[in-house]
Amino acid sequence: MNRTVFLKLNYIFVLIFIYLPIFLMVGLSFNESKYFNQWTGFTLQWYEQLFQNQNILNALYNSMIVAVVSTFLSILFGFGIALYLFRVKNRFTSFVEKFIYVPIVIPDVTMAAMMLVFFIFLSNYLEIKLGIATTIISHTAFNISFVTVLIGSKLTRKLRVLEEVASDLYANHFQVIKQVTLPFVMPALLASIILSFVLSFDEVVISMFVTGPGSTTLPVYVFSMIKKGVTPAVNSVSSLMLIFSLILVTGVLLLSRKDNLK
Amino acid sequence: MTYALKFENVSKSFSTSDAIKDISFEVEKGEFFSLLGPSGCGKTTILRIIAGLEQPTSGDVYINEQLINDIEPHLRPVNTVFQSYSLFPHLTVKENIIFGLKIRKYDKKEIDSSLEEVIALIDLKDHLKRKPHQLSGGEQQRVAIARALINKPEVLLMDEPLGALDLKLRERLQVEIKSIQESTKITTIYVTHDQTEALAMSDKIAVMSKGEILQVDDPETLYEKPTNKFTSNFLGNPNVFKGVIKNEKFISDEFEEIAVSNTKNGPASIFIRPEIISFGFNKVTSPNVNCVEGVVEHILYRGSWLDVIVSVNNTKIEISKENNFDLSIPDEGEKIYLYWYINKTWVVFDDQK
Amino acid sequence: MTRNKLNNILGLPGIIFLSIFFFTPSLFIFRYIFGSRTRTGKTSFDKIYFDSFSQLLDFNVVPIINKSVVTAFFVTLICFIVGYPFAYYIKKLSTTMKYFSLFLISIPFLTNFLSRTYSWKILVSKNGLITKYVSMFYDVSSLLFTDFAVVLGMVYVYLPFMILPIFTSLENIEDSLLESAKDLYANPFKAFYYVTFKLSLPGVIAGVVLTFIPSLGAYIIPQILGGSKSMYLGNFTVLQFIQASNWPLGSLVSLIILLFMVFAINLLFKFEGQRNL
Repeated sequence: MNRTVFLKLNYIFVLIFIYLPIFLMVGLSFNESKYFNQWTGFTLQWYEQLFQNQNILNALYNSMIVAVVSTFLSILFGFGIALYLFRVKNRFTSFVEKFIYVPIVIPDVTMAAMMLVFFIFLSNYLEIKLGIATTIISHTAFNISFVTVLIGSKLTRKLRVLEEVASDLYANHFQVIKQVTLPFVMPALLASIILSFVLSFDEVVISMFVTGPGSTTLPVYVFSMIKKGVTPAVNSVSSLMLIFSLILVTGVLLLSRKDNLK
Repeated sequence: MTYALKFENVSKSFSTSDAIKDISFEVEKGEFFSLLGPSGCGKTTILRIIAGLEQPTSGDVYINEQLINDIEPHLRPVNTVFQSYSLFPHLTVKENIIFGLKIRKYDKKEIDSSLEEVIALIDLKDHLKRKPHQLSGGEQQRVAIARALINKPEVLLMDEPLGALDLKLRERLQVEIKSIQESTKITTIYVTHDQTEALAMSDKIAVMSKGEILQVDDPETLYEKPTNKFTSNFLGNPNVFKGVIKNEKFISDEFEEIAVSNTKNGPASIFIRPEIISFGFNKVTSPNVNCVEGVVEHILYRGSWLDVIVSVNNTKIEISKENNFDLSIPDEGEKIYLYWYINKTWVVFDDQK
Repeated sequence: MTRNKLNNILGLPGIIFLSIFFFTPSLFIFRYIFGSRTRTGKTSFDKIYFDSFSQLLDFNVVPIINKSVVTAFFVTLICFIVGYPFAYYIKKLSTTMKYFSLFLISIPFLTNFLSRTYSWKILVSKNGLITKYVSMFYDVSSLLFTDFAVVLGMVYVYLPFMILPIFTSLENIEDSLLESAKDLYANPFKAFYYVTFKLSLPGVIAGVVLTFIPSLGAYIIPQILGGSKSMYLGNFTVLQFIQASNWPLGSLVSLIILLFMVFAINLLFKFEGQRNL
């Protein structure tokens, strides 16, 4: 077989492989029939049912709170660390620079386990209950790293020179941050806001460990539904979650593309 | 003497290169002062110390008689044109230029009149509303110069401002920068590794090597009368021979006797610049000139001039000649005589630094 | 200097947060490993126990480790075989098509993981598309809850993790290098091997690490596609915490997953370091 033909077939095959299941799932969520191997007509009833399901609505509410608060905290902490690592160079910062990758690469099962044992251990001494707060803390703990790394990648030599230019042009410390640093990292900042929101909103394993009764997040709830089987309800809620993160992620990609072109 | 800038025994050590050792010099008001040297010699470090972006390890820096060691960069009356233009990518050309005035909260009227003044010097009228990435390299550099100039600094610092541009553009901007400097009389410190640039533009040049200033002089003195080997070698492309001076004669492995005008004796190097050597097909005997015999080995045709490489006593002497009509070009392999004025043979003794 | 103080303060809150809520919890895992499960499911710390280590053998954890490693290996291999040509192909596309393809591949890289795994479940379920196709050759009614489904599901989810880093390193190779290789009489295959492939190795290594590690510790995919009987390191760990309440053993296994990760990263970076010498 010709090399180019092989490459092209492989390309088409991969794209089909990746997108076929997604399209199938979204399509089925509009299927009137309960059974996924027959198409009986278009309907929105599964989505309507979804919005009447109090459990799902509660889980959605919890997820939103967790995602919003942990995003806010991780931006606050992560941006600070990124600036600190950019400005200060010593032994401690070079350790932090390496350590910051650990929460990103650590397997989610390991992180889930250690957060759980930590909170349970603390609960022997403090008034701590597994719930929204512990979930927020855990999500913040891994999101900080993503924010630091993403913003850190924009804190380059070029920015350092621009900051020097600004201070040469009479800007004091705060004016430098406001006039130069912030505008320069703005696309990366927006991207990391969206990304940490998506990462938190989609997270399953860690949430499963550290949420308590009544504070279940949407993915954890959906996961328990999925384990039971393929149903129209799962089709629709999965499609919704997918489309939601799809929109946000497309935003991130467009932002970073625009940034690269500049 | 009124100086605009003074360095007193300034040192700065780094773990890497670019350190400077015990630097002292003064720059007069209105002077165009160049720091010339190979990369890594510390010239940029001096500039960054003046701007306050780097703290000297020891020594004092004065601007207009005022000690500025502890003054933060944004409070210093100096402005820098950086090597890589470094325009703010998110601001328009106009916003870039007036950045320093806006930060200091000048009112709109002052800003507008300053802007007009600068634009009269540097033609940027058509570009004011554009973003930096829409400009060419030369235009960006003009904006960077305007951005510094508009603040009317006591000292203007320029860090290889033309380094990234092509030759033609560089030469044009050299003329532009020089004429702006002459009309504004702003004291300028200009960092470059390009000797022709430094020679063409400067009132004074400090030649640097390995963190030290070797010689500070006007371009002509520097080129004609270098006081040390490094400067002699760095400027131009001289023929260098190592030997001893004895009774006004230079003696080395290659030459039995070349007359020099120095009365001192001792081990030394002689420097003969390619452009001072003449050649002919007959021997020249005159008490004022040295004359040696050689064979033409190579002729490099350079357009406006020729480089001729002549082998003389197992060594090579390079001469360069303007390509004018009365130049009779020898053939390769032909025997010729080289001659030059005795007082143009430049001697640097080994004990000179 | 005041400037320095200010810079230090910028990083402080985040670093304190991570010390308390990430670094400290990671130490707790070690303490739990040496605890012991009591009858009520609570963990006792009154002395140093080694129960979790002996349970590694009692509960047949070794075959589970084996199976997880073999699975992760095959997933990585398949991702590489399919992903490399894909990255190679899109590098050669026109700029617009290149970025569009990259966009298509990046989307699943970040979108909802759970939904994507679920969508794959539909395909391998009873009467699913893939099941139908496979059942033409083999006598199966459903591929769900088989190792085959788990491997394919992981390939499905982790393939972009392989493609993106390989593409990035391929994109950084200058065309002139390939041209000069051809100029120096290399045939297309040799030019590809000695220039393109060797220079893309950093991307391959990153891709391998990014695929292997999550495959090894995966929990969701085996749970959804492999069923509750099929044991991998990830769901064995979760089982110890959520159902068996054997936290010391769970902690130990979660640490083993982490060690595998550290080992894999080190091995591959060592390999890369040697090549650069």
